[in-house]
Amino acid sequence: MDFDLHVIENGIPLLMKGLITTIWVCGASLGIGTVLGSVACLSKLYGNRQQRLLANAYVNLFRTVPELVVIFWVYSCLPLFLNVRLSAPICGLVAMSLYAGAYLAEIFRAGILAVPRGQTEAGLALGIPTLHIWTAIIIPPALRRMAPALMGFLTELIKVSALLSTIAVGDLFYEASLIAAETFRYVEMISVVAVIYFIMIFPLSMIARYKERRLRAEIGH
Amino acid sequence: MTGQSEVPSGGMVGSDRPLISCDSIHKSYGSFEVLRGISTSVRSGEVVCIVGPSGGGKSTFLRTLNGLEGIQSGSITVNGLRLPGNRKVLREIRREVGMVFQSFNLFGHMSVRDNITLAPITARGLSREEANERAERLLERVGIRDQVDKYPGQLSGGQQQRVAIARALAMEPLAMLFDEPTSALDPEMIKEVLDAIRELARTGMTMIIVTHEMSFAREIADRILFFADGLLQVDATPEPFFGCPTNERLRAFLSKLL
Ligand SMILES: Nc1ncnc2c1ncn2[C@@H]1O[C@H](COP(=O)(O)OP(=O)(O)O)[C@@H](O)[C@H]1O
Ligand SMILES: [Mg+2]
Repeated sequence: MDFDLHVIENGIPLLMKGLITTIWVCGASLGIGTVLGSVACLSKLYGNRQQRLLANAYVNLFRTVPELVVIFWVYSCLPLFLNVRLSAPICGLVAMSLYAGAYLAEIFRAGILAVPRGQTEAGLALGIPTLHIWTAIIIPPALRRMAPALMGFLTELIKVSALLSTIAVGDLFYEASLIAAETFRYVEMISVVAVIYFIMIFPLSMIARYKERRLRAEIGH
Repeated sequence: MTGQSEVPSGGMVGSDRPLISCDSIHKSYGSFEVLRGISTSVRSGEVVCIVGPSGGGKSTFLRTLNGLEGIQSGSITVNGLRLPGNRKVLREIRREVGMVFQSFNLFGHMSVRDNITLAPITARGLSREEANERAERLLERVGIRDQVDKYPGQLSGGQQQRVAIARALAMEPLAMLFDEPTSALDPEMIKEVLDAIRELARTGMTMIIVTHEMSFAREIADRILFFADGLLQVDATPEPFFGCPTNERLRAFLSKLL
């Protein structure tokens, strides 16, 4: 079997474009997902009955339905409901954000619940304003607790983003498969894409594992 | 020593106007009534110890005074502010009343300095320099000035509790609440914490102290309250409290300690 490096070389501009789209979509959905996840998490923890119900429904729905189905649903059904035309990248972003928000809500919740109640009480007893109870007392230790899970989720998010190629969002995998289809060099293109995903994700999962170990040592101590 | 002045008919310590007063407070968890009508008051400068069997409602009572626990009926007045009240009143009261917990509850991710300066900066609007200076002065006072840049996890239990005392004092409160401040400590560290509290008593700080250290209570308290079954069973000066208790529950409680 001949492995044609030229195809890869010629594909670099398109691959770069795809990579940038992948990074952009992941970054943006992480950002929007953080907002959605925070709202859902706070609703679950401190909301009234309806808010808790709504947040639970959202989180459970998007943690249960396969990501591919979510992506297709947002792409083909949501525009009909809203009666608007949405471009594929926007649909992809919406789907990924909804997905990210549901998972992040649970990660945030676990992080916040891991901060002992006594910490908050000490802050309250001192008369510290609510904002500072959050920013100075709850969030820093909660973030440390959830760092491994956050890193782990980021790797999942990048993997899931490859599914966006199914609705023709020009992400890394989509561009690679386009080149492959045009040149019939599937082996080269899919292999190189696998390597690029590996290079992106492996360090993240190593960091996640490292943080996990450090946290275990800290807590066990 | 103010904490040990002779104790007849009351009124010789501090002013006559109560700083904290409770009127018939009731508190339930579900159908379980933890506080069944507590009325008492504490004057400015008074040191009041609370003793009683576990589960009697001592912690719950203490925590209603700064609104960490809400009450179902009755009212609490602290320096003219009334509970139950809105969030603003709650925060105001908490700024005026310091609390020290059995398990210290120091902020583990902050240095000792930051533990102490956080509240003065965010709740009193002190500048970082002012707060710093105050933190160092208070640490000096509780005898651990040299630990200012350590983290709570690097300190002994006794040191941690003294940091917690300094942290509460940094708000310059009108009164301090202690919930079994030495119960989580190894025996050799109890004295250093009790000494810090003794020193506070000497300066005339108003204090309510839940404790199992009977000799300490006897020595430091102007009044001792005995809580059992959600009721304030006895409210007396140390002499009669330990000398000739007429309350059956108190007699049983004291005899078990000996
Ligand atoms: N958050 C809570 N929920 C339900 N019951 C509680 C709660 N806190 C305390 N209690 C109950 O209230 C009673 C009084 O508790 P507490 O005030 O801690 O007593 P003490 O400090 O005198 O040991 C106990 O029976 C305890 O089980
Ligand atoms: Mg208690």
